[in-house]
Amino acid sequence: MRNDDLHVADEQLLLYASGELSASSTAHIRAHLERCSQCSDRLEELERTLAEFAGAQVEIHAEKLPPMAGARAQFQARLTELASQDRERDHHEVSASGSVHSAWVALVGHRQTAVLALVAVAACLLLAVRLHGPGEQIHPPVASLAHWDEPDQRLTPGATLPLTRSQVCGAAEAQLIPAVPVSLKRKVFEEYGVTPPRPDAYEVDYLITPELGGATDIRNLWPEPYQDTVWNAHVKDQLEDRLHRMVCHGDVDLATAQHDISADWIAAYRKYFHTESPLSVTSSTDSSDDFSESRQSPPVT
Amino acid sequence: VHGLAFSSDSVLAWPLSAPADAAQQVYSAPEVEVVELFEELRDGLLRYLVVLGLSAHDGEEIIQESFLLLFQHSQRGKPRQNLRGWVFRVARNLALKQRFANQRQLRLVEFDEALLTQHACRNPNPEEQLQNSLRQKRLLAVVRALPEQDQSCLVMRAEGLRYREIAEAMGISLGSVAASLARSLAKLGRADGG
Repeated sequence: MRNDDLHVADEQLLLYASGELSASSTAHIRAHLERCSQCSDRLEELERTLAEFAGAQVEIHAEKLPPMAGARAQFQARLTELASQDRERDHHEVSASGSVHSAWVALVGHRQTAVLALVAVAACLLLAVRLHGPGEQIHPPVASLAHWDEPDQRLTPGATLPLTRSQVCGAAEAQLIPAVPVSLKRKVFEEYGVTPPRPDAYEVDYLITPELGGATDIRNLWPEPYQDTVWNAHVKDQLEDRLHRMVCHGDVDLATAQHDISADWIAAYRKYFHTESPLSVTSSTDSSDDFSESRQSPPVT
Repeated sequence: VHGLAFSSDSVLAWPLSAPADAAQQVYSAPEVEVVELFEELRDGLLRYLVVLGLSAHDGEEIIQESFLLLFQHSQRGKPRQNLRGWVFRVARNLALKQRFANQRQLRLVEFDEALLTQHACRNPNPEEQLQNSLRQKRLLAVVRALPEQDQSCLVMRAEGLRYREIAEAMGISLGSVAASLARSLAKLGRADGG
């Protein structure tokens, strides 16, 4: 029970002013303030005191604060170092798990067995390293050795945001798929050793699409060819559309979809489209709401 | 993904010389996000840590460490709500540990006195400056005498944190934040009027 004649306590006035009270409490205090000058004066005084203290804080410390530029530069340097350490550790963990078999790992294996092919492989590697300068290269560029219809799992194991199925399915597509910043695209190309003028032949694609909760993170991006391979970016788009719809219809759970598309998207395509070869890209995108139709389309040859 | 084609603009932006030097350093989206939050909060955090008794140098170190922890926090896919409260909480915990280790309370007093003197010397109107300086001195004396929890709530609020962000940073309820602020503001109001 409320007594409207009682004055409002300071903490209630503060909560009211900051908009933290329920609608009914807010309405009650507002009504009280309209007829109680003592309380409205008190609220004004509290806010004035806070503002004065805030001003004094800034003024007093203004001279002593070291400039932002130096602090930011130092922080960015530390952050860059930490981020690269994290990536390096992640890659090592993934490689050590034995779950990944990239072209590079395979080549190292051959080297250890000292087969004759080593000579040719080593020559390729030396050439690649030389092309990219003498700087330390944790991951040798593999541009001349592989065609990434599938990503290098050491570089692109996939990364997700902590989204639920309802969040993934509730948002409009435009909200779900953020544009990859140019600086990040450039970093992806550098990581994979793609050099000009080749970038226009690739889409910097999400391994786990944002439509399935994929993150805009370098570990979830790779340069995917548009045309040069049967399993290209357009084909992967079909799978992304299909998995998103299946998740939202409850046919597949989100975690399974994320796992399947990141582990081996081509195998996932075969699994979810029940086909060994990609379906016709044109008919699939034209009839994107009707998968029974696209499933019957002739395979791309 | 549809609509992510590499545009001609992007191609033009490609660096023609291999490998990028330090001046061309590029950052991932999570790094950019953390740096932006660093820029937004750094000054306020530093003022707060100085009030808690740290030197500007120690405060700066703690802020950097807090934001590196924030980056790792976000990389692990942890919750992203209330990041401002999260950063203040981590910085406060580090600061209290540091303060306990160094026993810097005395240095805080000296620091405040030195600041007020510096400020008084720069002001073109000595009489007005004296009044300002005295009032600020009174306010600071009150804030120094507050318990740490009240100091923290007051300074965080003065730095523009919302009540729920302060509650997150302090690990207390909204009601406790409001009660703490009410106590501190009442004391400040009395000092200002006196």
